[in-house]
Order: sequence, then C-alpha cells, then structure tokens
Amino acid sequence: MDEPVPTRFVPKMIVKLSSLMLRLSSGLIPPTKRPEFMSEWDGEIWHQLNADVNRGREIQTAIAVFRYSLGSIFHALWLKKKHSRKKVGSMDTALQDFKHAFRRLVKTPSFTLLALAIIGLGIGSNTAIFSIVNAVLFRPLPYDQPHEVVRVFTTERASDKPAAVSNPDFRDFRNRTDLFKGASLTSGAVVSITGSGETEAVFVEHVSTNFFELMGLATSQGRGFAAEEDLAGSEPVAIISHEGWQRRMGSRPDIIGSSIEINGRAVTIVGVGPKNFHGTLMGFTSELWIPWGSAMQLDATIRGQLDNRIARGMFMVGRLQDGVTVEQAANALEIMAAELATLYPESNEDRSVIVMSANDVRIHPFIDAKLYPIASLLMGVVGLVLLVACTNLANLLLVRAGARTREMAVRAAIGATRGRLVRHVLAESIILGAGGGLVGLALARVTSVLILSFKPPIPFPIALDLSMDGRVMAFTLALAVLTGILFGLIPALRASRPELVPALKAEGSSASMSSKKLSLRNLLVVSQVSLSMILLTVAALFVRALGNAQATDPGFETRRAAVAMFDMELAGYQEADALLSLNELVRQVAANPAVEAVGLTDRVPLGASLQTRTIRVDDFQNENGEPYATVDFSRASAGYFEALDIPILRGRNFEDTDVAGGPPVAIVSQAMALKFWGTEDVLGESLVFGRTGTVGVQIVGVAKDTKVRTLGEQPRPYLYAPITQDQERFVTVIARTTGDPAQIPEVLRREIRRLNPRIPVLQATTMEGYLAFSLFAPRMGAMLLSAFGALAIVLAGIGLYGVVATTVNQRSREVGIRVALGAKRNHVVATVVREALWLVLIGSTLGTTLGIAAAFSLKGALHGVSPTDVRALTGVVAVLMLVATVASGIPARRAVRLDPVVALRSD
Amino acid sequence: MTGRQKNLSIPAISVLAAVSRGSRYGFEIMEKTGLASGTVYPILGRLTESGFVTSRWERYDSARSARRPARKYYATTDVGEAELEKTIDFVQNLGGFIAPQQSADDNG
Repeated sequence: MDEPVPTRFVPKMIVKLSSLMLRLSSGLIPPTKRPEFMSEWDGEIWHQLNADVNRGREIQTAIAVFRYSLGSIFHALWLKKKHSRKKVGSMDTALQDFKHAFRRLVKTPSFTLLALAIIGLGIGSNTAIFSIVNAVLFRPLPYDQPHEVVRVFTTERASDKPAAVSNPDFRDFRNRTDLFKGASLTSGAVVSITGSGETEAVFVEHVSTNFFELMGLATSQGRGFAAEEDLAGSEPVAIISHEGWQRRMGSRPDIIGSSIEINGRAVTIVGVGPKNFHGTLMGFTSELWIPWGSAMQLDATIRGQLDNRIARGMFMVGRLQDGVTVEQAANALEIMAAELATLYPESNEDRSVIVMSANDVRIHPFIDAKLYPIASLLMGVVGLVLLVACTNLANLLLVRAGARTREMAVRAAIGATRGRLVRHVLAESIILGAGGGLVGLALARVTSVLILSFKPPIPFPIALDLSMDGRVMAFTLALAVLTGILFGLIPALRASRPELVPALKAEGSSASMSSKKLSLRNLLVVSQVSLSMILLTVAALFVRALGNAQATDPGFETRRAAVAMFDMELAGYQEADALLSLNELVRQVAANPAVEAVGLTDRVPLGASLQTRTIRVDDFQNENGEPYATVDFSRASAGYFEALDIPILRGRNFEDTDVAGGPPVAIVSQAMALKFWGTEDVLGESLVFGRTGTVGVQIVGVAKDTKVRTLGEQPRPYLYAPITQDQERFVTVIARTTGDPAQIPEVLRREIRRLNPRIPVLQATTMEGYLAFSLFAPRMGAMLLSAFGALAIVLAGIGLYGVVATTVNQRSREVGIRVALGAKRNHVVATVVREALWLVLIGSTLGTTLGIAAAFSLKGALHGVSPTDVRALTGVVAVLMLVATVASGIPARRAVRLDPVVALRSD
Repeated sequence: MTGRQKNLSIPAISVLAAVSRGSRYGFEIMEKTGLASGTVYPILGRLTESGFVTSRWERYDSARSARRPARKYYATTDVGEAELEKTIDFVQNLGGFIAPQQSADDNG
C-alpha cells in the first residue's frame, strides 16, 4: 500500500494513529471479513488525504481522517455482530458447548461422579455452616418494618458495655413519644408448667401487652393482650407459641379460653402466637408470652423488680417514630440518661444508653460479640475446604484437558478462536459447578441438621430456622458459579493454548505435557496439601485440647456423682419452709442405699451460668485502688464438700449451727485465700458482702481449689456461704453413689417429686452429663475441625494420586526403556514417589507453619495446648504420610508391574 | 429482494438520500449528511443488505495504474429510489401531522 501523502511530522503522526485505530478495529471482526474492511477504509483515507480540495490543509485533513477512523470501531462491531448472527448465534454456540460438555461428562461417569462428589462436599460444607450462621446472625427478624425497631440498653456502670434496662428507666425512655411510636419491655423467664402429673420447667417471655401489636405480629388464633393486662391484679393470661400449642396441646381446637397451670396457678390461654415466631432471643424458644401484670401474679419477686431502678434484668424494644434515626434516638436518650444519673445517682450514676437497630442484635450484644468470631472461624474453615476442592478439581480437569490436547489443536487449526475453546472447556466446569451445587445443597441440609443435633446441653429447646431462604440459596449459587469458574478457568486457558505442532503430530498426551504444565499441577498439589495441612494442624490441636480438657481434674468428683436442679420459688416456697423441705430431701436421698453422700448448692461449678458476689476485704485493693472485688460464689451445705469430695484443708466444714441469724460464716478456696490475704492461713479473717455492707463474715474454712468457669483456667478465687444462712431460689442436690451413677438422676427426680410434685426439675443428670456443658465448645471445635480436616486431606490425597498416576502414565515409555536397559524397577518407582513426596513435604511444611500461626490466634480455645504441641503435630504428619504413601503408592505400583515391551509400544 | 419491512431510521433516510443525490463513497456521504463514520458504515451495510444500495469496487487495474488503492463506490438501486420516494412522502406527511400550525417550509 502506498504511503499517504502528508510529509510534515504532525499530520503524519495523526495519520499513523488513524491506521492504528483501523488495525485495532479490524481485530474485532472475523478474519474472513478483514481484507474487505481494510481495503475500503484504506481507500477512503487515501482519497481523503489526496483530494485536491484538501491540498494545503494537511493538519485539518489529518484530524478529519482520524475522526472518521474512530468510527471504524462501530463499523467493525456491526460487521462482527452481523457475522455471528449469520452463522451460529452466540446463544446457539453456548447451547452447543453445553450440550457437548454434557455428553462428554455422561461418557466419563467415573470422572463426573468423582467431580460432583468433590464439589458437592466443598459446597455442602460451606452451605451447611452458612445456613447455621445465617439462621443465627443474618436472618431478618420476623417483625413488621424491622428497620424501625430498635433495642435500648443501659450500659454497665462506667463502661460502654450494654447491660439491660430497669422498668423505671424503660418507662422514662418510653415516654419520649417524639422518638418512639411505642416500646415494650421484655424478659426471658423460667416458669413451671404442671401438666399430667409431671411438673416441667419451661422458658417463656414476659412482655408488655403492646408487644405483638407493636412488632406487627398477629396471633394465629385468639386475641392479643389487652392494655389492662399490664397491671397487677389482672387475671393471669398467656399467649401460647404456635409450636407449643401443637406439641404440648396436640393442636387442640378449643385452646382459646382453656387454662393451664403455671407456677401453681391457673392461667387462661387467650391466644396462639404467630407461626414460626420463637420470641425475641434468637435461638431460644419461648413457649409462652405472659404480660407483666400476669407475671406479677405468677412470681412474687417480679413486682419488686419492676419498681426497682436497680433491677436491670429486662430488655427494651421500641419502634422509632417516622423520620427518627437510630443515632438521633441514641443522642436524645444519652441526654436523658445523664439526667437520670443526676436524679437517681444510686442506680444510674455513670450509666449511659446504647440504642441499636434490632436487626443488629441477635441475643444480646455481649453474646453476639462472641458469636461473630466463631462464625467467621467456621466460615474460614469451610472456605479452606472449598479451596482444596477447587484446586483438586482444577487438577483433575487439567489431566482431562491434557488428554484432549490433540482435539483442541485440531479445533484451533480449523479456525476455532481461543475464546471459543475456553468457553468449550468452561462449559464443562460450569455444569459440574451447578451439579455440585445441587449435591451440596442436599448435603448441607443433612449436615446442618446433624451439627445442630449436637446442641449445647442446656435444659431448654433451641430453635434455629435452617430453611433454605434466599440468602442461603444466593450464597450457594454464588459458590457454585465461583467454583465452576475458579476450578475451570485455569485448565480451560491451558487447554485452549495447545502447542499445535507437537499436538497435531499425534504424540498424544505425553509429548505435549510439557514440564510447565506438570509444574502447574504440582503447584496445585502443593496448595492442596498445604491448605489441608492448615486444617489438620488446627484440628489436631483442638483434639489435643479436648483430650486435655477431658483429662483435666476439675477438683471435684465427676464419675460417681449426679445432680438435679430445681426451683423452689416456682413451687411457692418461702425461705424458712424451703430449708425444712430441703433438709427433708437430703434425708430421703441419703436413705437410698446406693447413695454415699448428699449435698446441696445453688450452683455447681463449670455450668452455663455464673454467680459472682462483690466483697470487701480490709487492706485489699483492686486494680482501681478500690477496696472491693468480685469473686465467683456459691451457697453450699456441709454435705456439698462430702458429696463432691472437695477436701477442707484448714478449719471446718459448714455445720448445722450455721443458721440464719447466727454469726455469718464462709469457706474460701486456696486461691482466694492467697489472693486476698497472701496466705492459706486465713481462719478467723473476715470479709464483708457488698460495697456498702457492714456485717463481717468470718472465714471458718479453706477448701481445696476446684475449676470454676472453664476447665482450662488457672485456679480462681471461690467463695462458699452456707446455704442454711442465705438462700436462693435455684437449688441443686448432689448425690455421690457407690454404684452406677446413671441410676441416680432418676432417684433424685423421684425424691423431689415425692417432696412436692409442684417443684419443677430443670435438669437431672449425671455429673458427667452436667460437665458436658463445659466440654461442649472443645468437643464441637474438635469434632467440626477434625471432620473438615479429614475431608480436606482426603481431597488432597485424591489430588496427589491424580498427579502421580499421570506422571507414571506419561513416563511409562521412559520407565520401559530404563527397565529394558537393566534399571532396577524399584529404583524407577522410587524416582516417581520421591517427586511426589517432595510436593508433600513442601506443602506440609507450608501448611503446618500456617496452621501453627492460625492456632496462635486461637490460643484461648486450646485449653493450654501449645500451638507447637509436638504430639499433635506428629499425629498430623503421620496422617499425612499415610495419605501420601497410599496416594502415590498405588499408581507407582503400576509402574513396577509395567511390561517394558508394552510400554515401549505404547506410542 | 427487499428483506426489510420496517421503516427506515432518519439517519438511514439521510444516507439513502445522499447516495441517491450523487455521493458515492463513505467519506463523501459523511460530509453530506453530517453523520459520523461509525453511523454511516453500518447504515450503508444495512441498506446494501436490504437491496436499496449496491456497492462495487473500483476496477483494480485502473486504481493500480493510478498508483492508488481501489475505492468502494455506492449507488442506489431502483428499489432504493422507490423506497426513498415513498419515505420522503411519508416524512412530509409526518411533518404536516406533527406540526400542523407551522408553515410548510419549517418541515424542510
């Protein structure tokens, strides 16, 4: 082509730019159309530049040409579109790709099933964990217009930690009608329901009468509460949960107006709650909603709590006025809180207010804060599993693509574009991804139910809605698409760039499998091994931690004891007669020949609930320089120390003479004696209960340390007061047996029922059953991590197997030659296996290091097991070696058996 | 041969009219119609497909003897001329309908 005319530099450059533009545009259109396109534009540009009218206006002409040439893109795009329309529509090609891919997958069922299983497991574990996380943390609350609903907390003293609210505070806040359309006071509670014979403790919620209306929840039967039912003296009524009505009442149709016995009083059921509504505390199932007016009738202590600004045991839920934001409400209430602090310094000094959108509160911010890290840890774990699955699949597809190199080369040679080839291969992985997603959904359903069946050992049911909502579906779909692309793209790109000449020369897969491709596969194996080693390392540490926890001596009898917890107050006992009855109970239980010792307490250590007490000790100062401290605390009978076999090291046990009205006494643990007095010799010392108390409590004994809150803790100060001097509504009777402890819970139940059938038993179990609570977290952690770690290592094993098998196949000729030339077969095999073990070694070193690093951040959950625990790490390496040997050994053995003649003929 | 049943777009009418009035190649048509090259070429392609316009390459040897690249020339077909006439009638009617209050020369 002749050069255009312009001679000066600037126009020349502009013209150059124009032809570059043309060339770029021409790249868009099919090659067959390219020459005509270029000729037409070249001709036009030449004529434009050489037209007589343009003489002497070189720059302007060049600019015009450039401007025109910009349009060539649109011309090219149009041609491209027309072309693809004319031949096969792009939708048709896509469909074709999928059809072909589907057929190919059907033709290789073992590959397809293996791939589906791998993806299914990867996606399934993710969806399973996500549906639990979703149910706990993300599922929107069932309220009408939930974004208007807020939770209001007063803070702990001089801190920004949200506590609960007191009823007087609630009333003051609620009166701000400029902020709230309305507000309700709620609180979880335990009541006893007496059905046919047995008295049962159930979890309920006390609510303001406006609660259902305010939240936009309609009762499925009957009415809501009437406003006057908030008042003391109203006839006791309740709304039963939909589930409770079905389960407890057998869905009886005449439920409205019927009465049930709660805490010994007849209560009228006026409504059935909305379907699938379990109450305001995520995970807990409230069986009944009881208005405060009725609650005061059923539990004598409630009225006092409602009048007391110090009694912060309740939650406030409010609906914001239109246009009021959470921040505005928070600001206004903070000012109010400051006013309240001045008006009521005793209860409200140093207390502020926290307002949170209800959707951001699942149970209580304090508990939620602990759930988020657990959720992210679990998601991280299953994310790693998915990554292993993806790299594994990528590997399998690479092998598969290697076998198709020739086909690809032929396609490319007869004009298939690279994009077409990529789509062709990608179609396969998208089908696998989608299919795997379906398998995953099914697996997830089973798995999440299975995981939840390991519910924490608390005496009330837990309800989590695990149904597949839009969020879970979207999550799974996104995973399926993402994995499809992730594990498909690399092999697709690889496969679509065959080195044509060797591939076409029919050298099959062996020649075209360049070392580069193999090294990509090696890289994938290394990452699989290291990813699974991260999981395995952490899992092994958790298993060790569980072992540690189980082997930890809590400092009291665990194997031969049993406990039963019950609530005296719900049965209507007052302090004095409660004590008489308790003594009677102890006598009855002790009379059983299988029982060796019986004791009473209000709280057994290592349980779900803590009990602390503020004390003052002379000459003691806490870290803030104040003379008081908060210590873990329980009330105990003399029999307690005997039943649990806790030695009294100094002084005496409690005695019958330690009665209410007598001189107050206490027993302290060794750790407590050391902390407050610096010696274990503290008999005769004294302390004072409360910040402002005046009565001295004399220390009469020092008990051996026991674990208090967790099995992994260092000795904690623990304070015992005699249950005979100071009572609590919840009582636990502990019995130590000479025989089988499994028989004892029933004995305890029977004796409590005989004492008074109206006493609700919250829990009756062996001591080991009771301690399951403190072992729950390590057990779950060890179980989940081991399961996912095992899954990951099996996947990695499959990947390793694949690589070794392919290597052996590819090198069969070489092996054949070597063997024919007299090389020792074992030597040949060793070469192959050595290579595989190198990959394992690199991967495991990397993975273990990362796993140990991860374990350091989880140290709190490891019960004193060091992240570099030798036994755990040895175990992990042993498992890995086993997997590596099996995975590389099987294909390597094939190489040994190889007949050199066959191998040499194989091409 | 007229595969195209739909009415022409206004740029397409301009291009068809320009070819009919003697503009023979791409850049000339652009100048005449004031349309951008990215609009004109696809329209020319479409008009060709519809049989309103034909294109022919300049004879290779005559271009070669003049030491310049061959050029592509466009011309209207009879069908194209008929379509153009019909369209101009339609546009004029449309103008009268859209702006009944205005004088006729506003529709030009």
